Parts: sequence; structure tokens; C-alpha cells
Amino acid sequence: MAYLEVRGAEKSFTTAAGTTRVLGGVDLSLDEGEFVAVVGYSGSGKTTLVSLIGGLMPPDAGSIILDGAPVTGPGPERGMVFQQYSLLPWLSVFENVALAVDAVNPRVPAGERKRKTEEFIALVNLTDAKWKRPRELSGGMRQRVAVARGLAMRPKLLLMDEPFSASTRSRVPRFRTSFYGSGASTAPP
Amino acid sequence: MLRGSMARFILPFLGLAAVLVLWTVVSQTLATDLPSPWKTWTESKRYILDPFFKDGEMNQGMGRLAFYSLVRVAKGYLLALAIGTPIGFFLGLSRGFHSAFDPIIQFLRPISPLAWLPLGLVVFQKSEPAAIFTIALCAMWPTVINTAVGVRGISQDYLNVGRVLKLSRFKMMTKIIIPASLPYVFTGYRLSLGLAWLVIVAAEMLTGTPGVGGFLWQEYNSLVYSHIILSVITIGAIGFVLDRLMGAVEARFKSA
Repeated sequence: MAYLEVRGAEKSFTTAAGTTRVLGGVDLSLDEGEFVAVVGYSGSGKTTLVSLIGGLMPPDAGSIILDGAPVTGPGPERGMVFQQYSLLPWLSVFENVALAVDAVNPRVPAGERKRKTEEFIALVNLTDAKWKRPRELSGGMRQRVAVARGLAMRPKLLLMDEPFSASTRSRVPRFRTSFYGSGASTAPP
Repeated sequence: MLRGSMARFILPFLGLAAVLVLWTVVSQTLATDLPSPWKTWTESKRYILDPFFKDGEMNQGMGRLAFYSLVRVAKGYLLALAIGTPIGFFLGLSRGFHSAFDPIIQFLRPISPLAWLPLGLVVFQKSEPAAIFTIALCAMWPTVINTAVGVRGISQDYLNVGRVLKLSRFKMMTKIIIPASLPYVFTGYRLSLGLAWLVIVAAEMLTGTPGVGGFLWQEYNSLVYSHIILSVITIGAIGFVLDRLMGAVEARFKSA
């Protein structure tokens, strides 16, 4: 069995206009360390698939198993980088990342958690902006905060929903290289 | 440039002058018992120019009377916030709580302070706690309803962050739900303060306690009509200032 097994996942949404079948029997197998990009038109169900694996909503049919355990709800072991980043606007960069670090390391002493938080911020080159609020950052910087927060969850699997949609075209290749080259496979301690 | 300053500074004075002229005309023709603006000023100026004199329980400068009223409003208002805010959060967070209590709230909300006050007097036996009870009961609804609306309107994206991180209930409240709903909560606080100030007059009139409203009613009974106008203007001025102050506080949270 693969590290992540999605078998026959189905999802439909019912609105006043009728029922739309978004996913009709999706199968997906991923091995450890593997990287997969799902490509499709808007409305084709990419976000729905990510939400199902993330456990934010249950599939109508089918199963999702990660590392031998069925997915029944959301959890930090499936770290998520949301489409609009979902940074909390009332928290600074540091506090946004610290929220994740504190959530997954409840027993670690405060000083150690602070050090880890600063490491994840340094990983995405935002140390100088760590006390800024999200609205003071550019789109690309916000996205890096969201990635830092996703990695800070120490996930078995990092789910990213259109993580590069807000990047300027010129910065995408560079950021992609630096991100996939250094950070993703070996997350810092 | 000239037009802009005209509109900003001169027109409000023209509006005020028009009202004073209308007041004078009415007091000379239609309602001769109504004191003219000048008569109101000459009979009232001591209350404004010497705002803290005290000749008796009900004959005091406007500063003192306003202070009594403001203290009473502050007590009732803080009680309203202390009760209304948690109720609003429960209504917004729990579907069951909403189903159970929303109909009662919609039913209680339109009840006038004049209706609550006698009940407060029956329950508390004294006029001061009855007045505070009435203020709190009437003023808390905007806080309850705005808080509930704010909590229910929190973006699912923010809640999903909390779900993925499996935040504790406490952290979910302090890190996500409370900060996300604060702008709505403070709109509720501003509206509640306006209502609290509306209620104070009715409460003081009925209980006869010293304060701007109590003074107003006493001067009506003593046929000193100019002092009624003095009280009305004082009530309006304080209400205006309170609303502006709360509006400034609210704006801070909106931009945050």
C-alpha cells in the first residue's frame, strides 16, 4: 500500500440550482517523498480534492488513507497552504507561524518553540518582516508565510492549493526552485 | 476650495441659525408657553456657567447632574456588555443555543424601558438598582445581536486554519473567533451605548433620581420650561459626544 491512498473518492455539492458532481471516483497513490501536481481548469475539483485529503470535509464515497490511518478529519499531519493563504490578519508573521509551532509542539519549552518559529521564518527569508502584519506584506511574502506555517505543522504530507497563484510570473521559477530544492524534502528540526 | 470650506464651516451655522429663528417664531406665535432661545439662555446660564453648584438634591449645575447620569449609564452599560457579549458569542457559536434562545431574544428586544422599569422596581425595591437593571436590559440587545452576527460571519478560511491545527477551544476563541468578530462586537457596543443613554432619561424620569432626566421631569412639574430645553440640549450634546467617542474606538478595530 502506498503512503497516501485515495480510493474512489466522490464528492457532490447541492445548491438551490441542483446537484453538481465535482469528483466522481478519484484514485491517487503517493509514495513517501513523492511530489505530485494536480493540474486542471478552475472548477475541475482541485480544491475539493485537497479539502478531502486535508479532512476539511468528508467524501461522499471512497476512502483516504495516509500512512496506514484513515483520514477522518483535519489535522496538522496533513499541513495545508490555503488558496488565499488564510493568514490571520490580526497576528504578525511570527505569531501566525508560532500558532502552528505551538499547536504541534505542546510539550516543548517556550524558548525552544520560539527558536523553531524563527527557524521556519528564516527558511522563507522573512526574518526582517517577522513583526509585520499580513496586510503590510506583498502577495509573494504572504505566500511564503503560509508555506512557513504549513511546514511548521511538521506534516507527513504538505497540501498546497494553488500556492503560486499570487506570485508574479518572474518570481515563480526562482521560488519554486528554492522551495522544492531545499525546504520541502527535509524540513528543519 | 471656497465652496468646500463654505460647506464645512458656514452651512452648519446657517442650519443652527435657521433652527433658532424657527424656535423664536414658534415661541412668539404658536406656543407662547415655550420659552424663546434668549429666555432659555438667561434662565439656564447659571447651570452651564457654574456647572458644579449644588443648592439641593434636584437643583444642581448641569455638570453635576450629567455626572450622576453618566455614572448610572456607565453601570448599566457595563452590565449590558458583561451579559450581552457572552450571550452573543454563544448565539453565534452554537446552533442549539441559537434555536433555543433566539425567539425569546427577538421577543424581548422591542420591549420599551418604560415597561421594564416597574418590574425592576418590584424586583429590587429601590430606584437605583431598578434604573441600572432597566438600562442593562434595554441596552444589551445590539451587543448580543451584533456579536452573534460577527461570530457567525467569520470566514471559513480562518476557522479551517484552527481545524487543521487542532487548536484547543480556548485557543480557537482567543486566537481566531474573538479577534475575527471584534469589529462587529464594537459596532454592537456603540449602538448599545446610544440605547443606554436613551434609556437613562426615561429611567430617571420615572424614579425621580437626581440626574439630567430627573431634573427635566422635576422642572416640568415646577413649570420651569426653559430648564426642560436646557436638559434636552444637554442630553443631546452628551449623546453626541458619547457616540463620537465610541465611533472612534470602533474605527480602530475596523482598520486593525
